[in-house]
This record gives sequence, C-alpha cells and structure tokens, in this order.
Amino acid sequence: MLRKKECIAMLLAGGQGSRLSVLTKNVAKPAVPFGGKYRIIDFPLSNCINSGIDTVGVLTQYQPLELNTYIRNGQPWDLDRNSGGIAILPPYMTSSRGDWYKGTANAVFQNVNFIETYDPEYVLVLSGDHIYKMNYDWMLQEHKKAGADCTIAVINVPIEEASRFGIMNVRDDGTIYEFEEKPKQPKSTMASMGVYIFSWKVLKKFLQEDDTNPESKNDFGHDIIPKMLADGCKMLAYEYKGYWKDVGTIDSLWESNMDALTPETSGLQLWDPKWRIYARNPIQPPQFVSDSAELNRCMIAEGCQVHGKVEDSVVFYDVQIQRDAVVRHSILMPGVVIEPGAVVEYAILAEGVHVKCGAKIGAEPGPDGRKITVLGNGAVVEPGAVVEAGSIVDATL
Amino acid sequence: MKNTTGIILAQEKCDAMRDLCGQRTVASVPFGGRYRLIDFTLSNMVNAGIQTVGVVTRNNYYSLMDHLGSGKEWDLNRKKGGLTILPPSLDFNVKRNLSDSKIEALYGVLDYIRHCGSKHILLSDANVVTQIDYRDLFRFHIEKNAYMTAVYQKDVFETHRFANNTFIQVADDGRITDVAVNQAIQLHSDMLLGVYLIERELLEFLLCQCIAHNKLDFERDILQGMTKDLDLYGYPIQGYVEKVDSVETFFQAHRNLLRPDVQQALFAKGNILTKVRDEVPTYYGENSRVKNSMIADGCIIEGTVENSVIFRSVHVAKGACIRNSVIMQDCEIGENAVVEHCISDKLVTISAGKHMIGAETYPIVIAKGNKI
Repeated sequence: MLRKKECIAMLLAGGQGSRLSVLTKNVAKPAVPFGGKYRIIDFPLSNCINSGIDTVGVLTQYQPLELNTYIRNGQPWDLDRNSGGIAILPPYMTSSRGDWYKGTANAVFQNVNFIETYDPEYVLVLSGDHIYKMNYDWMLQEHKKAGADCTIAVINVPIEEASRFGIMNVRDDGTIYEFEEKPKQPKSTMASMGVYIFSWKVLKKFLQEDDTNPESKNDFGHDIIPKMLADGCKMLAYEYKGYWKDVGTIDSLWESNMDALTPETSGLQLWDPKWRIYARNPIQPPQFVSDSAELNRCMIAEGCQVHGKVEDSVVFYDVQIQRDAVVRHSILMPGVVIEPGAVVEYAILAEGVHVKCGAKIGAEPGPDGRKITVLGNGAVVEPGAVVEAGSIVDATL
Repeated sequence: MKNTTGIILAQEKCDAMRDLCGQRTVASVPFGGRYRLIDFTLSNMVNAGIQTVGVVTRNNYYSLMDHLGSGKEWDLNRKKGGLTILPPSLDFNVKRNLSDSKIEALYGVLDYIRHCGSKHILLSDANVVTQIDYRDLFRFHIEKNAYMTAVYQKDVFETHRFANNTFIQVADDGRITDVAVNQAIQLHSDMLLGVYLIERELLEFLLCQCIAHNKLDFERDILQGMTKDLDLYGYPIQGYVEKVDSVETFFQAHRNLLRPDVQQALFAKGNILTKVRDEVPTYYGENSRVKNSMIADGCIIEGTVENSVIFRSVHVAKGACIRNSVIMQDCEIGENAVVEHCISDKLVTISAGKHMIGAETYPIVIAKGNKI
C-alpha cells in the first residue's frame, strides 16, 4: 500500500525545444546542460526536494534516452524512495487506446492512474525548461489558505516584454479574472511561469472533460486554464520574486548562463548552501590551472585543464583549454577541447566539440547586435578554420 | 577478483601527521582537493572487481563513517557483500585494552573474516596514494603459488622513511628473503606499502596463532616469521605511488599532484571515486590570479593562488595570496591575508591581513576549525 501524499509533482519533460536547434537534436530540452555542471531539469527537481515534495512524475516523450539515463533512480536529488520518489512516465498503450502525449494536459491526463495511486490533494505541474529557485511549499500554503482550485505562479516582467508571455490579469485579492496568451496590448505584467498547483479533484474533472472535447489542443495554457476561468473556478496568482528565465532559445540559454556569473546583478545565485541545486556528479579530479592560464569572471567545473585565457565564460567538466587559447563570453560543455591559439567568442560549444589550433569561432557583437555561434555535439573545427558569428554547426551533417 | 574480500585497516592514527590526525584516522585525512586517503585504496579494490570490503576502525571513526556512508559512491551498497564498517568489537572473554596492533585489530574482526566466504583476503592500509590494478597482483600471487604477497615500492632511499616503515630484501624470483622493521640505517631499499594478498584460511590461522602466543606485531611476528617457513613474495608497484605517513610526505604528495605526469597517473581514467558534495563549479573573480594549482569545485577565488592545492568550497578573498600551500574544504582566506607553506585543515578562517608563513622544510599545520 503506497502512502498517501498531500502533493505530488508532474514535470513535463517531453518537449523538443526546437528553438535550441542542434543542442536538442539528440536530447530533450530538460536534459540540456546548464551552468557548468547542471542540466535544466536539475532546477525543478531540486526545487521539489528542497520544498519537501518527494514524489515526482517525469513525463517524457521526445528523445528520452539521455534524460532517462541521467535521472535513473533519482538518487542525486534524494528521490530514491520506497514510497514516492521519481517515476519516469513515457506514453504507453492500454487495451483500448494508446497515444503519444498530444499536449501538456493530455500528458497528465494519460497518467491519472499514476497520480491516483498517491491519492493526493494537490498536484503541482511543472515544466522542464526554466531556470529558477523557488519554494513550491510557500505557494502551496497560499493555495490552501485561499482554498483555490488552481494557483498559478507569476512573475513581474517588463511591460515591453509582456507580449511574449501568457499574462494574468489579477484582482486586488490576487485572484485571476482573465488570462491572455501573448497579448498584443498587455493589461498587466504578471507573466505565467508555467508552474501550477491544482486541487486534484477539480483538475481531474477538467482533464476528463478536455479529453472528450475534439476541438481542444489538450494544453494547460491554451485549454485548461481558460476553461477553468470560464467555469468560475477560484484561480489564484502567486507572485514569485526572484530569478526566473525561460531558456528555450539559444540567446536566452546563453544569457542565463552569463547571469550565473553575475549573481549580484542577475539574482541567479547558484552558490547557495541552503538551496542547493543537485545534479548527477561526474567522476572527475579537481581542475588544474597551469602557469600560463588567465582566469577572469568565469565558472569552471571539475576535471578541466586550463592553460589558456578564459573570461566571462561557463566551462563544464573535463574541458581542456590549451596554451594561448582564448575563450570569452562562451559556454563550453563537457569534454570540449580548445587547442593552442584558438579563439572562441560568444559561442556555445556542445559536448565533445574539438576546436583545433588557431581556429576562430564567433565574434564580438557587431553593430547589428549579438549573434551567438553554436557548435553541435562532437563538432570538429579544423586548424585555422573560421566559424562566422551566428553560425549553427551540426557535426553530423 | 570476485572471490576476494578487501579489508582496509583504517584504525591507525599517525602522530607524524600532527594535527591532521588530531580528530581523525589516517584513512580519513583529506587529500588531493576532493578525496580522503582511503578513497584510493577503496577505489582500487572496487575497480579490480572486489565487491566485498570491510573497513576496520577503532577510534575517532565518525568522519570516516560520514565519508563512506552506505558505500554507494563506490557502488558498494550491495545486497551481497558490499561495504561493512567494522568498529572494534570487544569480546566479552578478552580483557585487554585496545592497542595499535594490526594483529589485534584483525583478530577483533575475525568473525567478519570467517564469514565473508571469500577464498582470498586483500589486506590494505589506507594511506597509499596510487592507482594500481590489483588484478595484476592477484595473477602474480597465483602464478607464484605464494602464501602471501606483499606490495612494495622500489628504491626508497629517503632516511625519513626509515622509522615506522618496513623494508624488505627481494630475491630475483620475487621471494622476500629479509624483513627489516624500523631500520635506522639503509639495510634494504624496498619499502612495504601495507598491502597484502593472502588466503583467508591462512590469515585466520596466523591470527589465532599470534593471539594465542601473545605475539602482536604484524611485521615482526608474522612477516619476519614467515620468511623462514612460508613462501612470502614481494610485488613491486608500477607507476606513481606515495605512502602518506607524515606531514612532510603529505605536503610532498600535494606538491607532486601539480605535476602533469602524476595527475595522469592518479586520475587519468577517472577511476578514483569519492563522496559527492553537490558543489557549484568554482568561480574565478575579476582579479583572480591562479598559477600552477589544483582547485576543487565550490570555491570562490578572488585573490592569488600559486603552486597550491585548494579543496572544495574555499573562499579566497580579494588581495589574499596563497602560495605553496594546501587549503582544505570550507576555509575562508580573508582579504590581503598571506598564506605560504601552510597546510590548513577544514573550516579554518584566516582573517583579513593575517600572515601565516611556514617553510618548505616545515609547513605550518593549522588544525581544523581554527580562526586566526
């Protein structure tokens, strides 16, 4: 008999993240590396365990292999439990039906049985594409206090950016009266963070109705939330104040990594013993910094060998930066090798990229703005080659 | 080596380690930025396919237990075998004080040895820093049809090694012909590393024999005795090895870690496993100046670090300068502080502007938790 859980989390990790281009060619977006040793999914998972939520269903669909290997039994996040813990939930067949997850709401609906085994009062719905540190328990307390049917985490965004988000229009008491997806003329600046708490009984009813509606896209933002509002459910906005970033694009992924280098101004403080972000740790010795190295404003992970110059960059584990190589404003993912004399600027180099002697990758932002250069997994750049700013190189082509 | 049980003798304290062993055994002395000494022995065993390991402890084993936990980092949280921590078990019938004796320590865990079910026992001290493939030792042992095979380091001439070490003479066929304990002059130059492969039943027999005759010295009573009657073989270790048994050797071993060939020898295959601490990657600030140093994760480096080994979560403030030192985890080095030729244990704070300067030949050891 499984123990009853008050609140369980359903983490939507099936998205392709096509805007991340070659970085998500072989992995789902939540498995994309971030911040020197993490992957994006470490953030919601660590938030869960730090908030006291010990039961998480991870809904996978697109390229789940690497994500599954990464999560395994959930031990790095302390989610290897006898009761609860982590469960990977891919779409499956039943005797009467079987389908891919058609949308976010459908993904949760197909796992009603999983949720019901824990008989929860509340279900927390998360997505695997944001970088933030948030205590979901505080949000749950607000949800309970207000007796809400649904609580949506919102964040105040600059008015000029508001039209990129789902915007909540909120009464003085914090309840939502209107939801607008990417409004041209935003009435408020409260953007949905893609973090929802539902009272399970209510959600279940709406998911069932949604499933029988052939017009529906089976999506939380598009269908479930507007329907609940229309039906007069009590919808609460919970304002989160802190760092939050959707890292769904090359630019935003790059920016967010750079934010990790400047916690005082950006608010993204990874060095936080009280709110650790957990990750599956690589087996690597400490990093070695040689006589010829120069390091400024950068983050460097275990196992790296640094002989060159690194500035304003995030360097993952097991990277070699050889003598006279220069790395600036870039992200080097695990196993990258930069040979002598090579220059890498404003670039994201995916796992195992090899930049040979004297090659030049990317460039300083020109008058027409910043262009991030991206090299896909395992790309090899020949000696002296030049990769233009803004290029996206797929090694397998 | 599935039919071998590893027994790590982690009971020893070491006076020559000064304050580094104040609150802990040699086995749990931090080493190499993120490891503890025992990690090398334990990882070598696991990498050779040994799946049953007992760790013999005596005093101050809290830090060791905290480090080893369930053994999951070494893949030793097994249903069958796995890691067992063996605290001293005082037999109701044996009324004696616990002493330093290796024989007594082993006799104290005789039940574990008896019931482990393996044919062979790999006995090891916990202070040898090396990467060794024990499978080669095993093949050598079988080939020679040895009763016991002892691992040694060739060509040790430093006189400071003589005391508290055992040197041997090895014949061309590998047989050990003489054992010198605590030699005061250079009798032999091959130094034992405290690693022995022996058949389990023979070990049980020798232990019972020794205890029955009140012979408590492993080197004198077992090794020296054996060279006469039984076939005792020596297996020379290949590659880099450092037996850490004093502050001086500890310090020297860390200097060696900055050599690329030593890094290659110890870490190349990523085989040395240790406890995970979930640290952030290390951040290097605006005016950091780092030369020839090994730095673990979770640090914030804003000052100067040269020729040093920095453990996890150390903060080196602006203007601070660390040279030729070993700084263990969670230390705080304040602004404009100067630290040279020091070994700072965990959780030490060196306040702004303070100077701590030791010498190449006598590094200062700052005990755990001190604030200067």
